[in-house]
Amino acid sequence: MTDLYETVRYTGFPFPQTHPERLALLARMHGLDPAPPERCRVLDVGCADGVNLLGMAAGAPGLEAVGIDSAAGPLERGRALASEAGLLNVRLEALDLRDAGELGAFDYVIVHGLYAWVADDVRDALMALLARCLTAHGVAFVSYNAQPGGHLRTMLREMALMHADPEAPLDGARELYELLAPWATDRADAYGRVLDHELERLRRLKAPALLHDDLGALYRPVWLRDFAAHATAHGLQYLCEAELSELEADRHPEGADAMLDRLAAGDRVRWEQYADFLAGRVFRQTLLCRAEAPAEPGELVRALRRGEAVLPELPSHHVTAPGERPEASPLTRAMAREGADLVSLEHEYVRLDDPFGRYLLNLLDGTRDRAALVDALVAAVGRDLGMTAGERPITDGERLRPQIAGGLEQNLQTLAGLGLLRA
Amino acid sequence: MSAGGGYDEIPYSKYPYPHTHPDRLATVATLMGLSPAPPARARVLELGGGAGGNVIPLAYAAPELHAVCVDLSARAIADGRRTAEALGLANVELIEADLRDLRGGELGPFDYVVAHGVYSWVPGDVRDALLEVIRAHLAPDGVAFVSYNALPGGYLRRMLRDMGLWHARAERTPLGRAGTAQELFRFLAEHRVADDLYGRLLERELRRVVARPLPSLVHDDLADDMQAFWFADVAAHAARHDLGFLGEAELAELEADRLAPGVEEAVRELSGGAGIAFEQYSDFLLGRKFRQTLLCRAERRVDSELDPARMRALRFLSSAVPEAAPLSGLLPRAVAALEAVWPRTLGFEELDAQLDAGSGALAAALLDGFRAGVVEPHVDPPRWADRPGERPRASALARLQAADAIDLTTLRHENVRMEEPAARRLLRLLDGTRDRAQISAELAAGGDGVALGPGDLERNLEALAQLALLHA
Repeated sequence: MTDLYETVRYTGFPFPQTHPERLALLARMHGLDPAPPERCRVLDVGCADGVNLLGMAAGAPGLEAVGIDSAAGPLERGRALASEAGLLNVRLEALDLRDAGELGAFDYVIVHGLYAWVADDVRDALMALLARCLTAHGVAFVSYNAQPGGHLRTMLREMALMHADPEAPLDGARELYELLAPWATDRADAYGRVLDHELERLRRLKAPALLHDDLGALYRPVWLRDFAAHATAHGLQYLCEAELSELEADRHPEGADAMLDRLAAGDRVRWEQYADFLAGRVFRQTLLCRAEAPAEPGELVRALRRGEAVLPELPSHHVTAPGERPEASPLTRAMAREGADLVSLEHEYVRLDDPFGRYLLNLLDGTRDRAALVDALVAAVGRDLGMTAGERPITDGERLRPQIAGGLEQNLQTLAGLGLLRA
Repeated sequence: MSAGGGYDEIPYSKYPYPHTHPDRLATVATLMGLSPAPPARARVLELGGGAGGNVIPLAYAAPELHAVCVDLSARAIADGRRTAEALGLANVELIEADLRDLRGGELGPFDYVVAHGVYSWVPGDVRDALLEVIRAHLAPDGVAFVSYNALPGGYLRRMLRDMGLWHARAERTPLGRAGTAQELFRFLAEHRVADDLYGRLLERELRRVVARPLPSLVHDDLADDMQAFWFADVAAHAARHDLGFLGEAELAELEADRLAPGVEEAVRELSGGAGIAFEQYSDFLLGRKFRQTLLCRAERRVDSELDPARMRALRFLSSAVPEAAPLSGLLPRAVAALEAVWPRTLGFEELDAQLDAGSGALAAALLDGFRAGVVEPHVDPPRWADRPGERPRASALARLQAADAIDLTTLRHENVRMEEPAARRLLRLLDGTRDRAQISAELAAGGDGVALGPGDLERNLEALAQLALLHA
């Protein structure tokens, strides 16, 4: 795994479902009294380049983020970005989690995309780490490939590895997907449709994700009951799932919920496990807390299941209309200087391919009004900003002033729409 | 096999398995260019054969055949011996033994070795021993039958197995676990999320397990050691034991399990011709979940393809209704001609003379029919009667079975269920000593007094002939 991360550039992403605001909301709904998201300590285990933590840290100066990963390369990139963005509340460390001693206490711990891809000793070390560092009402987010759906993916994985060179499986795997795809589409039976569905997913995956998720050295989907038992063995307990919409009613066909209630006999893990049987679950994002924490679904959760309440809304952090002196966060601006991958103020991934838009975004430090923005853009043409008329490069920005001034409002509106501008 | 105790506790089925019949093994071997031993006079060994439900009918139907059944369960072997004794069979032996003690070829050479339902259900060392035992007992032209759960389809079964076993985790007995697991399967069948992909998949898999008898669930789907294998891995395993891939005992499990025209050529191109790679890629596409693989000694030269010309040496049977499957070319006419004489077989020459469409075209059509599962080729002529004689004689094995069971083995080596008590009483009277008048009289005199007029009796006797239960 370490090797893989070193050789494949794995672009970090923000994962909104791991944000402390979301975790705190869910924890409160389930009987806990978690630390306030704007003033908490967050640990990301297996953080890659740490972009997920950077996004959180940028939004809340009182939040302290620590990321650990065994691959040094991406961490280096993350540190450079943090320093570019002037973020002082993020620490990224090259550390194998098996060697992680006392990292201190954390209110939120994120372990995304790790548990199902590592051997038992790493899993044990992970649970032990959670048990060591979670605060009394702390919440851990752990995602993993789940069963029974994992069997279907394992099926495709083994086919690919049989066809391909196991040392460098990417090309061979993709070749097999292309070979099977047209014939799978022709089959009307259940197996053919599953094949078709899985192939469609695999053919769309980008190389790093494919290599890490489906073709990695280890691929070990887990039954929820085994995951929960593992947590229990380490003094932790199942809290709920990270996906808010899972709390809503109508997830199952008519009558199934009553049967699930009967089968589960009050045990929430069993209820979820039987639900996975029905739905063919492939992935879980489970929240854990300490075994002694008073985890119990509250009235809102019960009302949601009866269909008698609506999901609570999360706070919003961006403005929908650009202000007089529009402002983007230092992190957004630093990322815009580097490339097209950005993190929005709602902690979502945004891709901005247009260099002009990115240049504009970088200018939005809250000091410039619209006139100053137009001046700065005009001055940049031919220097920092390559523009062309037909085939020929434009060197004199003044020629473009009318267009730049005319399009500014629309451009600012677009950036606001992407959740990149703050009040 | 691993758990002798488990096998003693729960009686396994005593069914015959038609695809393990030496005639079927000889048929595929012939089509692949081998010269297998004549099935009716062959030496047949079954490993893990339980109470001999599969080999006793073989021995009974062919007095010159010699069959040996090996199993770990003392109770099964004792049961089988009682049946063989009751039938007065001298040509079948039942031996209680562990496979691991037979690796030196202790039982002598055999023309056909059958291991049905063993490979996927034993621990790794026994699986190795199984192939070693097969190789050690296989005559130079011998054919072995090895069935196992295959991948990728095995993953789908595995899903249900894990769910079922977890649901039944509090149960202490295998049958209790099976019953409780089946309860979950029924629940899932009822509540699966309609119309989504996974739901359809569940439906396909659940159909099989919701109604399965509990003992088969115990021994198959829920067995401790149940494991499924990629075909290529089984072929490689066999090669390590000097066994080569010959073919499959059943070319297609279902109509849906065949590659569509056009696809077959593409897969062939991908795998560089027929053979192991072709089979493996086909399984990828078909989602195969079970295989009945035939093996021979690795040094035997076998053709890479089934050769239609070799069809000329065989006889044919068909009971397929031609409209049931979309057949094309000469095949519908061939099937219709065979159906008309059921349960008689026709030799290639006879059929060729009747259809008069050219023997090359007929051979190709019959091979297609075999592939599609609508034509059944045989090496030996049938030994069953196609119509009742003056003093009809039913299979003594079936008559013995009919005394206390409804599952009967036909002379075609198939299982039929005869639930009507009067039908079984009639069958039991057919020992070859009674003519129709005596049969009617004794039927009427029985405890529940069944009166059959001459027309009804004739129709019922003919029905028994159609089921291949009467001797010629």
